[in-house]
Amino acid sequence: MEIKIVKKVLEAHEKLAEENQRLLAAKGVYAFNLIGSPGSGKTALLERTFEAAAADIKPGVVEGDIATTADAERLQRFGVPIVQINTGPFGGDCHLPPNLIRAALAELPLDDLNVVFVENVGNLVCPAEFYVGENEKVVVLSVAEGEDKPLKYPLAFREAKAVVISKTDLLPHVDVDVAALKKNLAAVNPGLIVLEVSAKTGDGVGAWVDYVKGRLPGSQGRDRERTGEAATHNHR
Amino acid sequence: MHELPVVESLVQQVRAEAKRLGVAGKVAVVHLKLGALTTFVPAAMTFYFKALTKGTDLESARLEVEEVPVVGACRSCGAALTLEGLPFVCAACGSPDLEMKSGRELVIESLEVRDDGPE
Repeated sequence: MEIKIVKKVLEAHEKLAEENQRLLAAKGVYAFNLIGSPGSGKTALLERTFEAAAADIKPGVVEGDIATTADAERLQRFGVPIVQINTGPFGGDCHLPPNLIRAALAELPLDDLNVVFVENVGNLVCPAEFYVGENEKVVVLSVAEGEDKPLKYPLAFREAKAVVISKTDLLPHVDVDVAALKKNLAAVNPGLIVLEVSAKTGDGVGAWVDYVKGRLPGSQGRDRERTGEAATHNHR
Repeated sequence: MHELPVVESLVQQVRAEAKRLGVAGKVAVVHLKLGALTTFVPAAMTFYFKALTKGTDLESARLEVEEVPVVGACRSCGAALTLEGLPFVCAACGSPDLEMKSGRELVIESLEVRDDGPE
């Protein structure tokens, strides 16, 4: 005998993520879920962001790593509220699940913030799969990783609203074909917003910060958001 | 490795559903629909399912994964499309403005239960 069930396996995850989003929305906080390979420059991007925009945004950070508090320590000098999550004690998960994000949000002074950066565990596969309640995912991809990555990890780039091509100062030293990289990004997600940044030299940081500010509640940039394109997708 | 927590959720749900339906201990096959756009690997899921159910009331149950293709429609010309791979553009008119209707599923579709009399 076969019995129909039709039940989402991640239903409980999704409910928690939606609760996170409702909490963030109620507090007027916009949340970025930063995804990228280990060493792609996610923390460096945040360092530059806080240097450049300390006066203009009210950020909080959720740092996700399997182990160590190294990233949180790097960001401490900015006086930004940070919650470090180590997934090691929870089984070494390769991504941040929404229940841990909920616990982290409870630790942040959301009333005093207008943006939260969730720096996910370094990994281009698993974090793409899980909606944690963020407003948008942003992939950080360094030029050293090569132009083929969007084709090899399509879901991450498909789920993202924007991609930051990082470490552009390395371009003279690596063989990446940036034109091919952009073509591959467009093949996976034609609506993707592409920014190029060097956290080392500061090139492109201004455009990234403008992008961030444009997404925040009450900014005019939000109205310019393109809608109805392929980049608009559900999280399931 | 990220299949493990997902299969843990799956096993919990199957167990709860089986109990609710009064067929605990009789589940023979769990039918799962898995979208082609997800990053979960069917072989890893069946492996974890076996490992997680060993020595439990689901030990004799088997996980069957059915892949769901990426199906959508073009918002420009209205063509229906099934994507076999990249790029994400309409095969008819080349537009990238697509509405995806399937491909992200991770759904317990049904349970096959053994009919060996009342519990």
